[in-house]
Amino acid sequence: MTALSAAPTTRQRQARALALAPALAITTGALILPALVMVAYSLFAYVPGKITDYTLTLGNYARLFGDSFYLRVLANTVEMSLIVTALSLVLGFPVALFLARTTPRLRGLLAYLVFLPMMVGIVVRAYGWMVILGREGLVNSALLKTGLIDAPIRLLFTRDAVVLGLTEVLLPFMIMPILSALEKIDPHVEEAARALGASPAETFWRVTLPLSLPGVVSGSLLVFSLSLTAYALPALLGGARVKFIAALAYDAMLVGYNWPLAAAIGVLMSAVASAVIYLYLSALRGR
Amino acid sequence: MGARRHWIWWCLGLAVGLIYLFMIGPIMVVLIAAFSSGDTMEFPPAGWSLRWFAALAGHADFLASFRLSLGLGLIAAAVATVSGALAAYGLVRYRRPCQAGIETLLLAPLYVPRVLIAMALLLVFAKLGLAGSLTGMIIGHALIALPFVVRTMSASLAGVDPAVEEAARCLGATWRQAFVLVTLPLVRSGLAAGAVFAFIVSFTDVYLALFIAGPETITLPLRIFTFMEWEQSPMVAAVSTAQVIVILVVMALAEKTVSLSSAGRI
Repeated sequence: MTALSAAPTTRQRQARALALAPALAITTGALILPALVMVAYSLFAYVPGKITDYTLTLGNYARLFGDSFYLRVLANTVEMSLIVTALSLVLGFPVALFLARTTPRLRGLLAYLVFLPMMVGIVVRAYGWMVILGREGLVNSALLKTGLIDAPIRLLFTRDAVVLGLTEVLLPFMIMPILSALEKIDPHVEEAARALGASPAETFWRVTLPLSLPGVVSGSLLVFSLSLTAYALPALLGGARVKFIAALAYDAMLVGYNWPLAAAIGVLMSAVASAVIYLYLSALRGR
Repeated sequence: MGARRHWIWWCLGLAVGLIYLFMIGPIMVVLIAAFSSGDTMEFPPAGWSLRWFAALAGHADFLASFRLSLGLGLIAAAVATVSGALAAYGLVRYRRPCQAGIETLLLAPLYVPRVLIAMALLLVFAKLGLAGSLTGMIIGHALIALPFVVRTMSASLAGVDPAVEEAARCLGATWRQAFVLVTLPLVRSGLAAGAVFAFIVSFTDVYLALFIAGPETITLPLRIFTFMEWEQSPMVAAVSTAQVIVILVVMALAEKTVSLSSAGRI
């Protein structure tokens, strides 16, 4: 290619190592090593009143898999994450399709509006949902005014509130990959299908949709893994009634100070999430 | 374009409009509720006032957290931007067999769920005496901000012809001079976008703060989070509005130099 990259001198190799050093130090020191420490912790015995006891045991995992409470919360989290993923797909695909087909100017503005909520952060958006769904919130006051209900109904601290909030927060992660996939489709392919006699609906079902599949797959897996490990939003919109698996890790870690058990929950979550990421990457590679 | 659209197109447009309402609605509601004159989360508010902003200005805890988050965001963004920009340079300019592995490692904080990062960090920080410290928060936020800088910088470095830098080297510039005087000015928009992302990631993070913040390092999102769990006065709307305004101002400043929305594609 170029002189710089074709024949690296010792000095250039040093320069590269030097350039990569700070970032690699951060990722290794603050991500890889702590992850290994977490795995180690999950194998330590828990002695009440003592943060760490270095006796090795599989007891934490035995407790997780032996206690129906933990498994029920995990199953519940997986179930709700599947619903959130399906809803995000149903809502996200039309948006991505519209963005891919509209004028460049409008696309720029609308893409910015997808991106903006992501930058605002989840705490503010969770609060927005509390204002909308609360006892005196937007929905209840509208329903009361129209006479559909006589007394405020409980919308907040329900499964539906958590599903709604998570869908809203994770929707951009669905829209962006699908939009990228749709933009990569050569317009000539669709034109060819139309020229060969396919109706617009047929063209969509047999050409556009299959070609957008990589985006659908990556968006779905991204949304699913983010939902599976959500903590803040379910805690705020679900209250004590709707527990996600991450809430159990938080409770074990910061309320019960049972760090080995918290670490085991963490390892379990990463195992499920890694399986998802592995699927995600192999699905991308398969295309 | 769009002169003779099929009627399905207009149905799609309507549906998309409603979905946008769903996405933007919660934020709009917060911005409106901040101007309520009532004491509850009643919406729409019965009356309008600025009393919750006044209350916010007198609330020492929120102000302290606001200042902390601003400072933390700036420091974390600086650390992430410098190390991320250097790393992107090393990645783009000197390709090696272990390229993919290094790239994956640098982007990993983006794909590893925040909760897991936070839990793992707490386990380590507790041993090192960094739990609850500002240093710990800076390390954590620099980590989660790093991929955003690496990605935006890699994209803009890829658009710069290495020959430009070689020319500078041939004319006698040192490696450092070539980087600082030639390459850096050419990628300043990517650098700005990366720094803005890094700041916003830190400024809005609640996950890491939930686990590794201490009484002295309660960030703004964490303060709002804990306040919300107990009390639901429009004060939360006012402080959230203040947070959103900071984010919008930072983004507007950066949007002048670079299109963030295109750089932010997942």
